[in-house]
Amino acid sequence: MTSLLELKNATKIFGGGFFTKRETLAVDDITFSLEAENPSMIALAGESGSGKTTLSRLLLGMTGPTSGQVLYKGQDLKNMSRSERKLFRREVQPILQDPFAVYNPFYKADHLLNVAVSKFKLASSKAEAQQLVEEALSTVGLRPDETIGRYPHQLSGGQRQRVMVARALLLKPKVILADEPVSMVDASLRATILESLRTLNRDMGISILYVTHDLTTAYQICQNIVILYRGTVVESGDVDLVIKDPKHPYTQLLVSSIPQLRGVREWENEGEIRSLDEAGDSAGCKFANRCPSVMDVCRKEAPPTFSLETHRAVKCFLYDDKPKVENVDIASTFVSPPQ
Amino acid sequence: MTTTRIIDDGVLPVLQIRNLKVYYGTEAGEVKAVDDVSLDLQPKERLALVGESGSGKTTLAMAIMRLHKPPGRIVDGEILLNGNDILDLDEEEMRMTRLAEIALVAQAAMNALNPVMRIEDQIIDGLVDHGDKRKKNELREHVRGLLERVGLEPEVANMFPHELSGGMKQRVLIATATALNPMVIIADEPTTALDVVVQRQVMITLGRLQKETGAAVIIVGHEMGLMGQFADRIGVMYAGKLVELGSVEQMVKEPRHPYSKLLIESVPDLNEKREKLTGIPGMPPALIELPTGCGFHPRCPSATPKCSEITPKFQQLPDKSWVACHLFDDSKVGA
Repeated sequence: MTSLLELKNATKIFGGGFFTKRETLAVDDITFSLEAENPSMIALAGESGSGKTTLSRLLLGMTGPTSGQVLYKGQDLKNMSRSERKLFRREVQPILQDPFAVYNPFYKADHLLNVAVSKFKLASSKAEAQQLVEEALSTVGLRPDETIGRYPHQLSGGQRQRVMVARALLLKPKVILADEPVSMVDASLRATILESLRTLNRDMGISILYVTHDLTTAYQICQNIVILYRGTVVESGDVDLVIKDPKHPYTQLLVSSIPQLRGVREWENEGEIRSLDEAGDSAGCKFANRCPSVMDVCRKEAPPTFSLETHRAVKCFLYDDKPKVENVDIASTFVSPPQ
Repeated sequence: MTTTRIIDDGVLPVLQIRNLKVYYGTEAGEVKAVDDVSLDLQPKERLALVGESGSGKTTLAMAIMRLHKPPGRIVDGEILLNGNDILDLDEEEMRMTRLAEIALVAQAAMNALNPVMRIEDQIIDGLVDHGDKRKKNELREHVRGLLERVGLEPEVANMFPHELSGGMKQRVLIATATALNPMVIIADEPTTALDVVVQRQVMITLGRLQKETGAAVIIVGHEMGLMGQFADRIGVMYAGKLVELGSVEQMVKEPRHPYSKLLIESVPDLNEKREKLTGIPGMPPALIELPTGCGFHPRCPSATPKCSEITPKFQQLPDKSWVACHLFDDSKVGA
C-alpha cells in the first residue's frame, strides 16, 4: 500500500521567540498516513486549542513542522520540485472555515473557479472551461445560472461555501481537507454541505479529512475519528467505537457534553467539570489536571498508546493491561469504508 | 389573553407579557419582529425561547428590558414586572430597574466587557450606580464573593477582559447580572461560540446561580438540545410569533406544532446514523413580506388550504401547553 499523504513524527512548536520564552506545543509527535486505497472520511476533532487547525495546515504544506516530516506520495514537502509542488497543490485541496474571507469582494464569485481552471490548464477552450465550471457547480447542488456572474455578497453563506466545494472538486483532487466547513453556516444549511462532501467521498473516491469540534456531525458522516487534546492524539479509530463507547476520559467528557434530547436536565446533577483554561500544566499526561480518574503515574510520565481492539487506540494509563504500541500510525486503527 | 391566568396556581407571575408588538420601521415598510406575543414567567421558572435566526427571539428578549434598538419600537402591548408595567417607567426609572430587578447576560461575551477596565471595577460600577453605598474595600470583597459564586478564582477581579478565556468572560457576565439578586435574568445566547465543554460549564453555572438566587430566567437560544438541558418550559418562535409553549418534557417527547417537530428532529443524534442528513426544508420568511395566514405554511408538511388564509390563534390546550396551529383547533390533546 502506498501512502498518499503522510505525517512522520511531526511536531510543531510555536513561540519561544525573541520576546517571549513561552513555547506552545501545537502538534506533538503525530504519525499519520492516508492510504491511496479505500478513501474514507476521517474526522479530526477536539476543542479550540487542541491543535487540529495546525495539523491541517501541516498537511496542506502551509506551514512546516518543527521536527519530523510531511510527505506526499513518499516525497517530503520541503524537498519538492516546482512541478511536484504544483501537482501536490492540485491534488490536496482545502475548504476553509470562513466563507466570507476567501472571496475578493471586487471579483465575481465564479472568478475563483475560472482562476483554478486557467492556472492548472484544465480546459483547452473557453467553452470547455465554462462547461467544467457548470458541471462542478451542479455537482454541489448549485444552479450555474444563479451563481455565475454574481458577486460574493449576492450569495448566501451556504451558497458561498458550496462554491468552495465546487472549486475543490474542479481540480479532481485526491484529498480534501475541510477545516470546520460548516461552523459559520446556518444550521439548516449545514446538512446540505456535509451531504455534498459525503457524495464526493462516496462517488468520486476522494479522501476527506473533516476538521471539526462538532462530534455529532463527525459521527454522522465519517467512518474514522481522531480525538486531539493539546496537540496529542488521545483516542483514534472507528467512529462507532469512539463515539458510542468512548474510552479516554477526555473523549468521555467531550461526548457527555453534547446536548442530547434524551435525558433532559441531567447536567446539573453531575459534579464540577474543569475546562481547558483551568487545566494547568502537568509533567505527565496533559489531561491529568482535568481527569476524573487521574492516578499518581499520570502526573509523572506521559502515557503510551494502548491498542484496545483492532480499530481503536487510546493514550491512557487506565488501559495499561492492553498491548502497548510504540510510535503508532494513527491510520492503522482505521476501518475501511463500506464498498 | 384573559386576566384569569394572572393568578394561575395562585401565584403572581414575576413577568407577564401581554400582546407585545415590536416593529422596525424601515423605508421598505414595517418589519414585524415581534408580533402579538403573550406569555407569563412564574417566579423561579426557567423559560427558553428558541427559533431560527430572524425569528424575533432576541428582539423579544431585548424589548423586555427596553433595550431594543431603533428603528425598533414597542407598538403595542404590556410588560408587567411584578404586576407593574415597565412601559410606563421613564428612562431613569427604567435604568434603575435594569440590573436591580431585571438583568441581562449578553450574547457576545467578547464585546460586552470594557477592554480597558479591570473586572472588579466594571462590577463595582454597576453596584455603585444602583445605590450601593459601601466602602471600596467592602465592595471589592463583595465582588470576589460574586466571582467565587460562578466558580472563578478571586484573582480574576484584578484582571482585564483580554486575560480571560471566552468561558471565563461569560461567567463574569453571569456574576455581574446576579450581583443585585434580580427577579428576572435574561440570557441572550450565552454560549454562542464556546466549545462544548465550556458551554456545558457555563450552563451549569447559570443553573446553579438561578437556584441559589431564586431568580426566574429567560434564556434565548437556537439549539433545542442545549435548551432541553436547562429549561423548565420552552417557547418556540417563528417569524415574530410564539407558535408553541410547553414544558420541556412535552416539547421533547411530543412537540405539537409542525415547526417544533422539525426543530426537534433536526437535533443531531448520537443514537442512530442517518442515511441522509436533513435540515428544515425551505428558508425562513422575510419578515417584511410575511406569507398570509400562518407564517409557516409554505414550509409546513401538514399545511391545508385554511393555513394560507387564516392566522391560527395562540390557544391553550387542556394540558396547559399553548400552540398556534390549525391542527389543534378542536383539540382535546392532553385532556
